[in-house]
Amino acid sequence: MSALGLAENAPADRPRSESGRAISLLLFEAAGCLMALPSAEVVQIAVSARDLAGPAEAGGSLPLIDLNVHFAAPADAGLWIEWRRGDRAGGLRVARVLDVVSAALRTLRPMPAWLCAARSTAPFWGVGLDEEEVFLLLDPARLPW
Amino acid sequence: MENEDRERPFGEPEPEQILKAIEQQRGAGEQQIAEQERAQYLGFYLGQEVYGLPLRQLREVERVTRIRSVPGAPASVAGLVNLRGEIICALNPKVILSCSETTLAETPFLVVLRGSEEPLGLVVDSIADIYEFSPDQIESPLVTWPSERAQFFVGTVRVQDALMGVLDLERVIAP
Repeated sequence: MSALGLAENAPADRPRSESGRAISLLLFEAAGCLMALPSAEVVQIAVSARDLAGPAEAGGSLPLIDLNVHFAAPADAGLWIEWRRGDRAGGLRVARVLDVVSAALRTLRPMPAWLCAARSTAPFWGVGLDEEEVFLLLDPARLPW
Repeated sequence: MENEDRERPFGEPEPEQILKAIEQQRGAGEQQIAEQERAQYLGFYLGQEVYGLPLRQLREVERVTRIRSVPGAPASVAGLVNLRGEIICALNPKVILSCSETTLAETPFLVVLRGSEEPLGLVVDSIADIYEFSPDQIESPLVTWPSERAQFFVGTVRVQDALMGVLDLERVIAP
């Protein structure tokens, strides 16, 4: 990843599904925007937050973040994504889950400097393209759980 | 804003014409500037006002139909644009320049910049024309402008029947 100039923006724990050339991403919509996170970090997608299991050591409960609310977008009924990376886990409410795509690493770019400067965009570590659409790479570990 | 096109005195050059002019300017280029000779500037509209940038600092001009907003982004960032597979960070100069109206036109133009560390562009309402003048024709920024606005200008120059603000690009694009 460092060869692509992404290292300083990449999550501390690298996505497990990353191969030498491509990464599998779950595309979803939240806060009026197309976002993506590594498919390997998605445990399940559920209609209700009650359906998210959570780690046994946490008593089965998960911290939850509604991404629309977090980014001050209008509230929207949607789905819950259970995210897990190592011993970190949480539930993310999104408007819609769109697809699982394979993105070539060379097509991913770090966040533009203008966006890195804003604290409110810190949960995003890069940008990519799915055909014509620009998506933001979300690092859930940077969210205030 | 919707009546602006009818009120404008100039016909808009097509992006292809602008690109051709940019390439010609690049070829003629740097030596002219060093000799304080006439240089070409792209004039563009933000609302009713005309602003200008040297063509040598521009890469291309494209009409944009889709700007992806970024949640949590500062108001000075209009969003991200997919320009033939390249992701351009599109700035809203109306916010940066403290314009009274900061809403973008429905089908604006993206002025893509040259020489920036990452792909960067300015979203402008429409293109006015290409102007040619020498640096000694540029006058100081208007004294009535507050310093937070004046800092982004090299100065002003009269073009046809309008006063064009010549932008200091390095200051405009500094995050």
